[in-house]
Amino acid sequence: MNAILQDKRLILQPQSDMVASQIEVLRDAVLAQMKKHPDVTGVILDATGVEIVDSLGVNLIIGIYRQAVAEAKTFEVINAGNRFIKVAQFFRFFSLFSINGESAAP
Amino acid sequence: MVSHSGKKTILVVDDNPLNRELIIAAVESSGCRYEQAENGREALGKVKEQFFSLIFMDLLMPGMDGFETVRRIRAMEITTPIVALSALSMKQDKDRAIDVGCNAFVSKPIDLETIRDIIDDYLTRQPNCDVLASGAVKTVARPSFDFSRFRMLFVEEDPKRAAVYIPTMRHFGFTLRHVATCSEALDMLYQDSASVDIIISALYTSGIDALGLLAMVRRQYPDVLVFIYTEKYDPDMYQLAMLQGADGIFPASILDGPAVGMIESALYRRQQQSVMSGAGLTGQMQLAQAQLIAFGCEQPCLSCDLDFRNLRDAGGDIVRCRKFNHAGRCGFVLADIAGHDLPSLYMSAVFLGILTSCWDAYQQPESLLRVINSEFNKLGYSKSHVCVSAMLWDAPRRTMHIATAGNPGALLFERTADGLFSFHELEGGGMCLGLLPDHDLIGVSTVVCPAESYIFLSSDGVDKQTIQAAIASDPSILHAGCAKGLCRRILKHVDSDQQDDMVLLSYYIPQPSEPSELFNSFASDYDGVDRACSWAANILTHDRVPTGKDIDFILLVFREAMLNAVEHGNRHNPNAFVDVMVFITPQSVVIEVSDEGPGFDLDHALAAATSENQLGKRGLPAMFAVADIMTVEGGTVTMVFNKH
Repeated sequence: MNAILQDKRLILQPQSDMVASQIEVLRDAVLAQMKKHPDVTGVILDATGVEIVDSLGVNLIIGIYRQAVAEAKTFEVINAGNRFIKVAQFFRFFSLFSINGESAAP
Repeated sequence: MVSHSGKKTILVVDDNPLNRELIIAAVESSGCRYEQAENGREALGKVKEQFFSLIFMDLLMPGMDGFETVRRIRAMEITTPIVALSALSMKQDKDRAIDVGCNAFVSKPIDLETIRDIIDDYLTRQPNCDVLASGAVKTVARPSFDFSRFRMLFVEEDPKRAAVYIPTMRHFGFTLRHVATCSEALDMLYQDSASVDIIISALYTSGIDALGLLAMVRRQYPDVLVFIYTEKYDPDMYQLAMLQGADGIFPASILDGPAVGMIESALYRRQQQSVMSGAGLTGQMQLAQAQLIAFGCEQPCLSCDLDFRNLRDAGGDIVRCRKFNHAGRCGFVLADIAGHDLPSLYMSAVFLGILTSCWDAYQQPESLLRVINSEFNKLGYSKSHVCVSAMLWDAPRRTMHIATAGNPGALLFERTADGLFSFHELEGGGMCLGLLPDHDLIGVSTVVCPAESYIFLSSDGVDKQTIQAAIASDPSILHAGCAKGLCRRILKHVDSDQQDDMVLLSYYIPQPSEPSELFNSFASDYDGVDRACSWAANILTHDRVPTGKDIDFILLVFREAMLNAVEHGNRHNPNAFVDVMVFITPQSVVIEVSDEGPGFDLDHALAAATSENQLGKRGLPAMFAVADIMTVEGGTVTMVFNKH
């Protein structure tokens, strides 16, 4: 997983689907990056390389979101593809954070 | 052999074919089934193999006459009513017939009406012994022993359960009063302790529970028998109840069968008087035994056959089979209970309770036998033991796993190139269960079974020579392409002087299913999940998915079903498999995902999956929301996606 710092925000770029077979590696990498950059003001998940998300992937995304909120950081998803969006709609991510700049109406 | 019809069966014994025809006409017009025998020897053979509700016996027959035949039937402790039919009309002939064991004497000539009246008279006294095709006992025969002498207090708080259990007890003849709680039961005892002989109580009721009631009864009313039933088998609870002096504790599921045998056994021990004849007792035990030999599937299975032949009395032996999932994973257990007496029936009830409670969770034969042994030893019942064989058929892998504890090894008859059958004896033996705690003396073998082979499990009453000889004398019995009737045909070859009860199970290994792109097996790990999803994505193309359905969502929930199988069904066992079958019609897509686990209660699991934890818990809500129909049966999760 790639990680980029931009304008005091941490951009996480998974290079694989967020599914069970990849989840341990992804989780370790995410935790390491968030620990490495405690001073960022927000965390962004760049889903360019993510096509499929299963329930474990959903758990990881929610985990990142919760961790960010707990540390008073913002969280959003960008560059999500069609299949990612479907899963996000199904699990109502939009009520928690914005995806591709869209979020639920307050 | 247990009749699979709801009708009662009557045996007609007469050397005169015209008399037999007349009696048979009356039997049929009464709605009963019949078997006929031309002489005493043939009649003896039939009563050894089958339960009859009534026997019509001619007294004057060539060879073994009716007097001798009845005497021998009674010596076998068979209590079926026997009506003597004879041209002999002297009082001493009637007295002699009654003396040898006939219940009634009718002078010939006879007519249809007389026979019908006799049938009505005898058969309306006892309800049907009706064994369903599934093997599940719908109603069991009322024992010849008169339970109405005993006043039972039945404690059950749930009105729905009471509505099921109480008629069952009344069916057996008990004079019964019902109270909701153990506290009410105690109040009743305080008021009039002489009004209660037996208490049967649900374990948990409001206020004090059945163990509390038991303690009070043991202290103040030692003559009252106390039985406790539970919704499921709990070894610790069972041990505690027995230590506190319960006369029996059993799962509610056997309340209508072996449990009654336990009650009768306890009554017998307590009374120590001849309130019931040995014949009546054995008859009841034989009926109970018939319920222990049972198929596990509602649909008839052509591959599996079970049968038993009990001789002088019942040993409480058990043969059971069970289908664990839709992919063809089936379990078989054959248990030879030591002894031929009341304690052996108790052992049967306990064994059945343990087996039904843990079989789904311990499908592998070796682990199943270890668990049963452990549970037996917890009970501390050291007066008996049980020899057990267990098999697990894994159809997708074409593999049979076998474990034995004190029983002979399985026998495999394998078809050879010339169309004949070669014979292999697999490893058997091991230590009986119930003797040593935590022993590992279990015979284990695994065999890849060729198509059209047959595999047999038996108690030690059936030796391999008997099975070989039976097959050698009639090789055609292995060419039927199924196992139905096979056990009975083999048991017929057993010597008549055989002294032990015999139980036999046969399983026919069918041809494998035609290779199909719509069936696949996957290793039970996350990489296996990915491979399964790639495979599913290739076969679930747009032209195959019902209109109105989103392939992405179908694939999403398929992935969740796979994860459920790997994580929860197979519990990350690296040696397990997940089998997937897809059925495609123009109207729907059906996906079956089968694992090696015990399955789960869908309603309960869904209720537990709150919005908080649903994201990571099995993906069940997602599966349930996307599929039009979702069911869980054993280790198989089925999702149906219909055209909209």
